[in-house]
Amino acid sequence: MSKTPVDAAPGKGPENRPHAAIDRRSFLASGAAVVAVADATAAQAAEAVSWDREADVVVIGAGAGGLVAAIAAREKGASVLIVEKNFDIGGRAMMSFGGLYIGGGNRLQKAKGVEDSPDRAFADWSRPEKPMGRFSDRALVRTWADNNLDLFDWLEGHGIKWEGYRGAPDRLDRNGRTRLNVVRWPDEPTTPARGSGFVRPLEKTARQMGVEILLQQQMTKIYRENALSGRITGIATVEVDDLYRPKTRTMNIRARKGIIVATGGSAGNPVFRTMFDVRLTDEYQAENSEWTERTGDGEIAAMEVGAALGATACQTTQDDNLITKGRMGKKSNGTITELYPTSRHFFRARALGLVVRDYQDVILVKENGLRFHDETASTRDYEYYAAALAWTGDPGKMNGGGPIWAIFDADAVAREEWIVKPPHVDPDGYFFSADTIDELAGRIVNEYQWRPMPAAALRKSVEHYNSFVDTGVDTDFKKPRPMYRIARPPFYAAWHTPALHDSYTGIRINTTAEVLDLRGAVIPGLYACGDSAGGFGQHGICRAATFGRIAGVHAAAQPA
Amino acid sequence: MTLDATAAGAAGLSLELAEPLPPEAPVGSDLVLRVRVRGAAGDVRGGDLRGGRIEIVAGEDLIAVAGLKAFDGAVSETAAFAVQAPATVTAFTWLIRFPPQEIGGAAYGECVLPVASQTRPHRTSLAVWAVPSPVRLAERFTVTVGAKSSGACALGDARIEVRDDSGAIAGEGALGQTPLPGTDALYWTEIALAGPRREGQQCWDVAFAATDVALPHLASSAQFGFTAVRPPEHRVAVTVTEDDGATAVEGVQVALGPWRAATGKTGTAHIDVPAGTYDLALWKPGFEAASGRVTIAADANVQLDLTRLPEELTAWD
Repeated sequence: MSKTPVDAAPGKGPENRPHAAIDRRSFLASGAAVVAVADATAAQAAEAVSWDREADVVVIGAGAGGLVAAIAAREKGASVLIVEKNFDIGGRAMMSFGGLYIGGGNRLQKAKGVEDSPDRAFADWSRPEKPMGRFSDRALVRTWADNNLDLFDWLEGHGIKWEGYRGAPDRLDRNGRTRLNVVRWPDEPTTPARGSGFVRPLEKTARQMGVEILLQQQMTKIYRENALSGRITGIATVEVDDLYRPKTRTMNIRARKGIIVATGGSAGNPVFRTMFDVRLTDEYQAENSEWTERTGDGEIAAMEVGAALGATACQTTQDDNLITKGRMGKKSNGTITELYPTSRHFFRARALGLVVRDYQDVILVKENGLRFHDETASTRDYEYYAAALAWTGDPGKMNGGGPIWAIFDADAVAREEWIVKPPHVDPDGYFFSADTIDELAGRIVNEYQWRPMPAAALRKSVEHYNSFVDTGVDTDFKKPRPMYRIARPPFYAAWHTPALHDSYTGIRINTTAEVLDLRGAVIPGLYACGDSAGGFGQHGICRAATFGRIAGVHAAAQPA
Repeated sequence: MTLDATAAGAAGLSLELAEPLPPEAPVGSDLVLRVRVRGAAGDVRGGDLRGGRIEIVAGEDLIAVAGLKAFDGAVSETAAFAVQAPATVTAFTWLIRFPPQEIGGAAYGECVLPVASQTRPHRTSLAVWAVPSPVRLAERFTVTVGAKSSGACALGDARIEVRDDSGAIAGEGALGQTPLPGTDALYWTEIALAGPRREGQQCWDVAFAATDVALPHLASSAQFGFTAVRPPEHRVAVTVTEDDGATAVEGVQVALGPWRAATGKTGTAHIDVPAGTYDLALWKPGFEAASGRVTIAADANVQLDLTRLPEELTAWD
């Protein structure tokens, strides 16, 4: 494996290091070294595949990382083809808040009088005292920091418009230095979320530059010359329908220079995610799954040709929003961003969901009708999640905690100004109402509720809680001064099971976004970025963009 | 008796239910039946009995009639039709009867299939709301009680009884004739209650015997709590500011013992209380919860600060 300038960087003076971390010369040298190890047998094996399409660089996934990678490769002269399994581009980023952690001392920061440098950005995002910073691969963090300034200019040059820095401390940011939001794409018809302001300009740029985007093409396999050795040669795809069900048409797509895995992570795959946290069974939904499933397709296909996973401890830091409290009253409840009901994607969401402004307005109970924690817990309180994910007695399912239901009354609906009918809630298994608490328990029928909720237990929970409102003290879970009784009919039960946010582990990459195998060797021609790549536990779009761009440039520099 | 057993008639016909009767059903509820008839071997119409008639007989009474409408080449079938279960709690047997009849010129003899089930009472459940708290000692007050039948039966005029925590009847009332707006069938009434006779936390019982309802119903009960207090003596002004000590915080829920109020634009809430020592708690989403203890012996002003939660604990992005 070749050393990039970034790999060699730590020995240099911290403030005087060059910011241009993408060094084309070193990439070419790296690529040449890789070709030298390919053997004749491997080349023959590659001949066995019948290719339907080919391009220099094939990108899997048209989200933040994939679009950046595609443009970066195209700019360097490569022909580029993106396959995307959804019927629209955008991936995980589309419904995001459009936030990037990007700094280094750029124009916007200077205008605000914010002191920043790549060294400061690196120091913030590798803070050992915070679990979020403790477990990241510091070589990748350094690469991210060193690319901040250059990437900022590059993104501006491709149509990204900035809303501005948040200013308040955010995650590992000590002073709100690096949290920058993009401006929402003005004509986006699908979602009010800002993320469109990142992916739509890049889609436009990519198409103008001649990047071909094949929608509703699901990657099913990555081809390598030999099972676990040799170059990556291409991918297999199958055409899928709007529910990702495979149709009959398949394709083999040859990649002359490289394949970039940008499939958005594994939060939506219960089998994959329970490798890291066995509690995260199938009742927990991945947020934004109405736009993108994030079922670990890229990770699995890469592992099948030898890829290792990187920095897996980042996935279990019990920090950040790995798990979130989420919206309620809908299945795909993981975020406060939403789709417009007129969006073509809305059939997957089925409802907008309700956001709880004040957790004094609800109690949260498990499948057994019993409260389990102070409901006002922060969305980053992992004691709350420990209680939510604890076993409650399902003999057929020892892991996972089962559904969580928010129970509330008509007065809470009035205080919160919720609209408790479709399209705001999903009465098909995720939202129920009844005239009495006893009846409400009997109405809860849901694919993850393994038994009917015991009505007597729910009634007792509500009566007991109401007594706390009178006495002022929650003797069970120490909720701060319970304020409101749950008493006025009708009564409601809304799905409020925790949801899953980011993937902070994935395929192991080096600082040039090349995928490493179980022995630490580069898999020639295979790259990964975004939530599919492991190593850097940073939320947001910038990690994807940083390594997407590095991957695109590096792949384009490979010999065909 | 096997509920879905077939019975052979004189003409060699056989009868069956597409779905068996449930082993138990609420009194007076509609049971949905679909009757199938299979023709005898060698039947001149090839078993096609469409146009034929099926009767449901309870004791001496004919309680339903249905026509055979569909034929799949072997079996003739009625459409689904509803038959009301008995209005009393009882075991019952119905005879599903293919009477002697002529269909398309062919004569058929009788065939009968007995089916059995039993009825159970409807369940009831209660809701109690608009309970004031605190309630002044010895002062009458009202609560609202609603009752629901699991069969959504009308419960107008049925009696509700409220007992205090000594078991004495504190009040009673009759449910109104129309369900509470926004509910399916929650019949409700306001009940005036005798004032509490002792200070402090109370837990009172509501009972619905359901003996005065047309169909058999099971009784139900519920509890509600409140705090009984002495009349107020002093006015307490609680003013809430951010931790700069200056910026007023509006919309803070202030709890002083059992009394509650919310701060207005100036950050102040007024609460009238008798002299005493009370827990004071403040709550507003986005701020750290605050609490303390105050002793009130005269009109008083209390100022407290609230600290905003860091954005990273409230933001989800």
